[in-house]
Amino acid sequence: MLVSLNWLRHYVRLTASPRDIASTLTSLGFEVESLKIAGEGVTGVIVAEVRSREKHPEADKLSVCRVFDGEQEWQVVCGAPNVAAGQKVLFARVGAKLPGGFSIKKAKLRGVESFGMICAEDEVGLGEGHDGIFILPDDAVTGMPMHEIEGLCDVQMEVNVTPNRPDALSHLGLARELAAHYRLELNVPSRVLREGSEPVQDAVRLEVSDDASCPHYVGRVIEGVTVGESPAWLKTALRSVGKTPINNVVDITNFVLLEWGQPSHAFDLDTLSGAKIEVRRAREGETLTTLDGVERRLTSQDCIIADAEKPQVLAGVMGGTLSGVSPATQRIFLETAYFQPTMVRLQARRHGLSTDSSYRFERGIDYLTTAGLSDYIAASIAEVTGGQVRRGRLESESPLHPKQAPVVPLRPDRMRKLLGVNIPTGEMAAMLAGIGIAQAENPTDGEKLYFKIPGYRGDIAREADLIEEVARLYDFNRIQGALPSFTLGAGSLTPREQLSRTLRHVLADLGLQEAMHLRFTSQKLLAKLGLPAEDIRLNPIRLQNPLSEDWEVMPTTGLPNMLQSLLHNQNNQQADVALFEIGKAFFPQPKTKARDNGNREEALLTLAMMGAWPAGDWQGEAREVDFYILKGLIQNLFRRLHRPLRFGPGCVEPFLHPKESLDIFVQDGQESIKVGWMGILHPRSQQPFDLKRKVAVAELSLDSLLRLPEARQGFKAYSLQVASLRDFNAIVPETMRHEELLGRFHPPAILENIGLRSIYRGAGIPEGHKAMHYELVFRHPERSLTDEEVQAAHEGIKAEIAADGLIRFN
Amino acid sequence: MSHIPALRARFDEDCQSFANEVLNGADTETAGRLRHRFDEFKARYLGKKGEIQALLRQMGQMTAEEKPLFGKEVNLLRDHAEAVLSDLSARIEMAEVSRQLAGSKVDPTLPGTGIPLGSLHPLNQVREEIIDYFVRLGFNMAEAPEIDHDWYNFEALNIPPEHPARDMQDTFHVGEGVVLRTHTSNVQVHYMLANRQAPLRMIAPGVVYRVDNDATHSPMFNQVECLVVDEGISFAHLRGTLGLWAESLFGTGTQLRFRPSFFPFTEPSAEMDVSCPFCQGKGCRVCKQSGWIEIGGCGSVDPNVFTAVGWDPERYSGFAFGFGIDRIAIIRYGVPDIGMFFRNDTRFLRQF
Repeated sequence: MLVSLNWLRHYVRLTASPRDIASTLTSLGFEVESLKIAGEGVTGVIVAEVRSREKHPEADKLSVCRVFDGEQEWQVVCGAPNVAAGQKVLFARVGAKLPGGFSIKKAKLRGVESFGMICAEDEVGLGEGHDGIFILPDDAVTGMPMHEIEGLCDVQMEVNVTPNRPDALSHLGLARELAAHYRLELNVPSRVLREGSEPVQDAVRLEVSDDASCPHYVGRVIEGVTVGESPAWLKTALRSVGKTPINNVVDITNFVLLEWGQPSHAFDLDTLSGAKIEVRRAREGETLTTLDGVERRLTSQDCIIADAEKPQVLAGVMGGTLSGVSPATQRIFLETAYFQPTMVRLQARRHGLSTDSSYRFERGIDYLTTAGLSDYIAASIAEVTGGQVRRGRLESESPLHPKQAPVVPLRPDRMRKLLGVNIPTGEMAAMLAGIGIAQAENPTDGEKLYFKIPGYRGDIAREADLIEEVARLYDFNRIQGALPSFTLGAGSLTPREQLSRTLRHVLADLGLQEAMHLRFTSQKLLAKLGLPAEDIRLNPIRLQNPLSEDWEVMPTTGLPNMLQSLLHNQNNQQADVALFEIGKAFFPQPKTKARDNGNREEALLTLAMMGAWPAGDWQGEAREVDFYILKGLIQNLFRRLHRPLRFGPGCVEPFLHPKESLDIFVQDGQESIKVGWMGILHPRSQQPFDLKRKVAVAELSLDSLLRLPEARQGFKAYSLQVASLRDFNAIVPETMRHEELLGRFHPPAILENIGLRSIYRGAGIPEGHKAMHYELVFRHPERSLTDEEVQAAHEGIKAEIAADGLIRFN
Repeated sequence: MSHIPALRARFDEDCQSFANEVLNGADTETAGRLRHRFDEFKARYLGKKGEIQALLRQMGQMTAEEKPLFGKEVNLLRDHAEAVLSDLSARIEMAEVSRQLAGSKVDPTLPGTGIPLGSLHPLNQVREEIIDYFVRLGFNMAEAPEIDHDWYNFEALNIPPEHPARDMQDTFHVGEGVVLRTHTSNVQVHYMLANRQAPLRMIAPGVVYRVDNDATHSPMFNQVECLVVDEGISFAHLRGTLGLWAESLFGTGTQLRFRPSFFPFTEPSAEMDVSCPFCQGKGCRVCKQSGWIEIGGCGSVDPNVFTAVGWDPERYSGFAFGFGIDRIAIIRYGVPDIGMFFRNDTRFLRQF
């Protein structure tokens, strides 16, 4: 809400500096988000009178003026077109300081000396105006410093009011808080209402058929009004908070809304059919053109104010064009009401509106002052329009609507215990009284005090609410911090966090960078994976109100977003990329219990690599990321996870290269659990993501991994005997796999290990074949081996491998 | 007797010329060849068939008086030869090592290769640090669904349907009564329902969502929630615990400032500021000259929350606080745009 300090000063005589007032409001819970201090940084600017104006002898656009500052006359050269003799102006004397550190010096303009400057609005920080000099009213006192001119140098604050404090959506409400803080008197405005003799009932009838939506409605009639321009004070007040004056009637209703927080509405009584006001639900199909020019189709959910025929106002939200006040209006029906907050909120939202009025009604305005403020507004309108208020009010009040302030008990001991600070009971009561919360006359029953809660503090209904007020008024920062004491208890991480940390730290140590994506994706991006229609990953959870098409659904795999990030890096000349992320996938599932969220979350590790590995190698040992690098990473990862890894025979993911991909399992006794997949991206999937180089990807489900416990192996004794090393170079058909080759022989007991050293294709190796060089380690656990034993085992293995003639050795 | 001085003189001369030859010509011979030549030379004088050994064989023809004197002279000569040759051996070795070292072609200013090093995401680094701090204090980490039923995210937290407080958090909806959680406060509800034994000390980091997107707001961001429930927990305990934590995160002497605010699930509610760690509260660009940096919201648990999850608000009290991990990371690393955390540009990621 925009607040004017000059306006606040009508209710409380604030003497503190604008910055102090702003920081006080913030410390009271009303955060001042911005502060505009008119005339800040200006000194030496005073009211002066232009005694004469003559054309500059050497310049058409300049004039030479004689300016009187109350003591003497100065010659001033002025460039503004609107300067004229007889004006009262703002005059910056030689030595004056203007915003931005600009200071006024004696000058010579085209040969004419100038002693000071006649100022435009923007030059003295009063506004934006720069078309000409700023002209003061004739009654301005010559010689008076600019800052002492009443109402000229205002301070505008933008105050952020939390939803629990609708009372502070008004100048009076904030003035009340400031008065209590600075221990100043609060001057509550009042007006004497002079009623005519004709009773209001003769002019119009009131019928409230929906008193659940409208618990309290008050109508008054003002006749003989002259609708026209508002008086200066009213226009100044509205402008000071950025409102445009419209006419004296509308301006009064707007003024009171910003003064008291009470919305009201003025109807042109003569436009109302049947001299009747009805508060009712709309009938299906009825329409209303609201002041914003929109024709709205109403439903029976809408609460409206109607005349005898049709809807005139969307209750609590916005008036209609038909019955609005116009320059021709002579008789006014004034509505002052308390509308039910939720009704207004729903109604405003249904129609896509949020108005000053609905904003306050939905947060809850003062429910005890409706009638009193009706009188106040009627008197104000009568005063500015010269009208006459009819005798009496039309009033409808629901029997359920509270008619007096509720009483809330407070146990001072409990307050002290919950706040952890020893605030004396008397001090507490005094602080509450300062903001209008007085002790009730109920007897103090030992440990409890009772407080009467004013109608503007609908947020206070319980002891806890009062305790909060006490803490707020006492100042949170005066409460000394203390540490709670507990019986010892070991803190713990969740199993998922422990697993996730292991994965993240190993992968970062292995050279990958951890990424983080927004957990949104799009159906379009998912479609690029080429999944079959029935794949659950194509059935994501959809947002009802997505921010954009790219973020319309929740992810079902981390892959599409990860590939987008590879693309981003590729497009930014970052060719070598290795990213991983632990994210989430979400899948719809039927609701089975009350408050079921209807989905299943799965934590996923996704990784993607592209380019040289390791990056930044100049010795020529880096390779293009390939299947084996990826597989090596996964194998290392599982060694650190202490879970037995098994690769499936292949992988059916359609977005992976059919021959360069594997399913990943963990083994639990006889049972295998699939935990993910890895492989090279299928060219068909690489292309739609615009990726230029080979991409290695993998995804693991943390939740599947967690289904199996860690299986840490104990120490295994190793042989201290000397090993015998042998090797062989097998020429095998290209189609033969490593594991097939190893499966061709029965490993003798003394074979400790057989490891592939290299694969060679090319010169000397027949077409369609490869040379696989293996190293064999023979060792006996307890004794040394003889050459003969080793030789026999080595030859035996080779013989078995070569038995069918498919493979030979060289 | 007379051949002993002659032999000594010959040895010295021989040795000198051998040393000159091998040490000067060292770079033309391999290390093994040099060593071999040295051994040959040594054997010529000191070997079993060497010249010094041959002298001893003459003793057989000597008288009993001559023998000890001759033996002593021979021993002196052998000691002399051994000392000279051992010195020469050391010099040859040194020459060899120098030669090896001089042969290195390494350019020590070239970058190292072959060892890739990755990085952890800055947000997760901060997240981990915060979790670990509270776990050390005996807090238990907790998690709750990111897509949650309205009741856990709002109603149980004292935010009824159609309450204006819902405007404070622009919410993503996914279906009837189901939302993307707008804060980690939903973990409070799940945790209090699942754990019925006081004291409760909970730390819950997590991803949350709001309909918002600009330089300082991301539609998804990271929060941490803390909850303490026991008998006799006060607002002062909240200030004490937060003060301790703020010092651990931002350094000793960090000041804490509370501003009254409104969260439906805490009462009293406060926004928490810390004195700016960059200027110690004097005012700088980071804190926009205010000397303070806002880092989160906090307060005492509202009795309605206790009631919703079946804890007795007359017996138990508690405090909760929540703050944005992203915000703390932005402050710590001076990142100008929150979106950079989620763009995954390697030029960004590799800096952490």
